[in-house]
Amino acid sequence: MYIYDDLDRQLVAERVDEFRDQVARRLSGALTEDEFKPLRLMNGVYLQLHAYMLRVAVPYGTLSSDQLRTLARVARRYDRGYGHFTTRQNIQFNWIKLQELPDAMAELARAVSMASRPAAIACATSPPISGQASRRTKSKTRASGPKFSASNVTLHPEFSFLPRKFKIAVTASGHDRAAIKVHDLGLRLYRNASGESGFEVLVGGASAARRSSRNRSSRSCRHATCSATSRRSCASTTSSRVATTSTRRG
Amino acid sequence: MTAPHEQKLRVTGSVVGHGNRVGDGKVVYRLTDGKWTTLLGDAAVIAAERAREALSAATADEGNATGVYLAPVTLDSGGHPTPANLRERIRSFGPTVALPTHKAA
Repeated sequence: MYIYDDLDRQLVAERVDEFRDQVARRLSGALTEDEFKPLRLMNGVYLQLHAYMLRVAVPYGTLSSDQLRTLARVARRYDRGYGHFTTRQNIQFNWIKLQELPDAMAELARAVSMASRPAAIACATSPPISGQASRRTKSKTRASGPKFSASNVTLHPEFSFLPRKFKIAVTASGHDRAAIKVHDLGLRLYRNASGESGFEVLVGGASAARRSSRNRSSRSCRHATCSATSRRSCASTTSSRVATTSTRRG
Repeated sequence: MTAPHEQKLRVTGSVVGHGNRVGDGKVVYRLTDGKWTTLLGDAAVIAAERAREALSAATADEGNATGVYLAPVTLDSGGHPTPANLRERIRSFGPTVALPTHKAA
């Protein structure tokens, strides 16, 4: 499961403090809804048919007992005693109050470093049998999809304003079990003839927000795995539009 | 689907002003005095010809309500507004599936 480090904890705590200030300014009228909306969306807060909704990310789709108990406590204290687990590895609280949201998020952050999920990136997927399939290039692909998302995307300014529901898939198998061609960004780990590891990068897949009929970019990344390039895009040396924008943060 | 408050205004009959209360997100309805209530039956019924003006006034009150729009209503025998379509019925009376009941520990 995802192991939170000090940087994660600091980042989540700072996000909560910042959002608390933004909520206070919205409630006092200092911020209009037009000004507040992009801020709440970046914190995973939506206004739905009946109430506000808070979406909380579950990295890797796994929860510790402490995390699950904290989610339950948040549901009891700040919602109606239940939440909704989604097919994309989140939990949603559908009846939460804006004025109590900072406290709920602080409790999640304090107890288990969990954070809300910003709107732009829907999720990063990888094959369910990674690490078990015989055709694998690397055995860590199953972890690399969420790791890519958690380490490279969270609060990254160039990922924060992507079209909604931007989807990423990562696979290490020659047999594509992650459907990388139908994602906005598809990454396939591969080994070339000299045995060097790299990535094949595909952008604008068939279900992407902006589809492309020529979606394959160059195969030039020399990084061995996503985790080896923590805090840096693994697509940093490719010529695709997405990868090119990723190189700017260094 | 485009949210009602983001759609072009098309009013053919009686409507009421809908919104979500800023502090807690609850569904609220515009009263004749410009305040908001959680009771649809108390909401001000607006005739089609006054719809644009009423929407402008309600939208301007964004410190209290957000996502403001006008929703069609019919009047019951007592003259109280009731939702005129399924979406607004669900919005006013809640989800159509039974929700878990919360028992405090």
